[in-house]
Amino acid sequence: MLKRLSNYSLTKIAVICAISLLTSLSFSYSAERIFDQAGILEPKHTLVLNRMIGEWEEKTKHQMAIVTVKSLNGQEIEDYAVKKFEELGIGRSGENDGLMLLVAPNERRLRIEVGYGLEQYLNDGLVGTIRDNYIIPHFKNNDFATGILQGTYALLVKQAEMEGIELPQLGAGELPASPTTKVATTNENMVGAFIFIIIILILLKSKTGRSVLMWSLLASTMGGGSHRSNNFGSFGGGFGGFGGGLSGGGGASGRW
Amino acid sequence: MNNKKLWITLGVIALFIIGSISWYIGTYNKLITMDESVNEKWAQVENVMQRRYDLIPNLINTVKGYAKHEKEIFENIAESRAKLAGASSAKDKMQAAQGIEGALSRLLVVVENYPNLKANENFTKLMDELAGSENRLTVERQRYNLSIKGYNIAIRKFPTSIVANQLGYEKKDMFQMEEKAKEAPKVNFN
Repeated sequence: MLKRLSNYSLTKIAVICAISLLTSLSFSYSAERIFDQAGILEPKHTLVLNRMIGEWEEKTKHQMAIVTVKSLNGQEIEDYAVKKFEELGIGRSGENDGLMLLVAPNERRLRIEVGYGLEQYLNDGLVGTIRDNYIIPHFKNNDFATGILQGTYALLVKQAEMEGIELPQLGAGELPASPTTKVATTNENMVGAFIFIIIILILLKSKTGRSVLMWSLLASTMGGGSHRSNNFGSFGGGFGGFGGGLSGGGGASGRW
Repeated sequence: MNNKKLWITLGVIALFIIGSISWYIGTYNKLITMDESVNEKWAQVENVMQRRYDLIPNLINTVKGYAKHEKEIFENIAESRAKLAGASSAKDKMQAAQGIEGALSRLLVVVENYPNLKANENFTKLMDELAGSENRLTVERQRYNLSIKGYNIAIRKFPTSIVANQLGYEKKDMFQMEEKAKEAPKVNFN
């Protein structure tokens, strides 16, 4: 009897351990769609990009990553892209509905990698047109941020349109010349700040709230101030982890 | 006493037989799974190959409008496509594919002489499709080769090779592209 019980609790502990390990893994993995190794994006761009990808992911359930690298380590960008895509596992595993924009500013190469599941909406010709019209012209002026913003916008809007899904915030149909002005309205920042203030006020009212506030303040000062703006950006609800999707080399590459 | 010895011997033999059978079944199933996985990857290779070669008629029609007199190349491509259609084994298909890649790369070199064609929007899109299909072929080819590698090692290793022999499994060919065919159709976006 005792033996059976201990066996039972052992499995229980093992299951709990496994679950907590998994959640911590997916947690450290999550909340990120932008991997700016090359350091060509400022927090304000990341904020806008996260918003755009956030709405698209919420509505379509597909996933997107933006990756910039300092160096491709001598690899062809096509090879690098397929491996990176698989490593991150962008898109849901059965659907393979991921999308990745990869930029290597030092090698002057870019690639838009389309997962198997999205190839039906974003064919190579369309992706190539988006690259030529929305990304390359800005990259030629060394304006990486605008190129990435416009390219991402065009990809997301076009994908949703092809699938017949509406993106109320991003808009649909014809692509505007400059999406940044439309998406990056200060209004949304104000709303975020407003909610932030309200939450602080609520927390200040109760005793436990005050201690929570104090501890989080302490934690944030210890963690350094640079993270602050990012936290603000994910106020509308963070991202889940990637789903383990694959790509098969669809999309388009380019140089400038 | 004697009886006990007999039972022990019988037990050992029974254990040995049971062990062998379960090993055999396990190996058999493993090999079948590997073979199936290789076939699946090859199907994917054929799939992207088909996609690539379906682009050719469209490409030729577009190019013909600008470069009527490059007849030889068009004929070359048509010939290699016919060969591919006639090929049944994986090996023949790989060879035919190399022929098409060679002819395609010559076509793309010729195209460089026609700036009007290169400015054609339809042609630009086709080139993107062509580059994409080439990249897809590379990816699926690599995945196929990787699965072949594991398969080839498994069927030749002793004692798995015994089961592989019984199943009639033979070494499969990797899909290698000739260097020339591999580099030529790289599309230049400048």
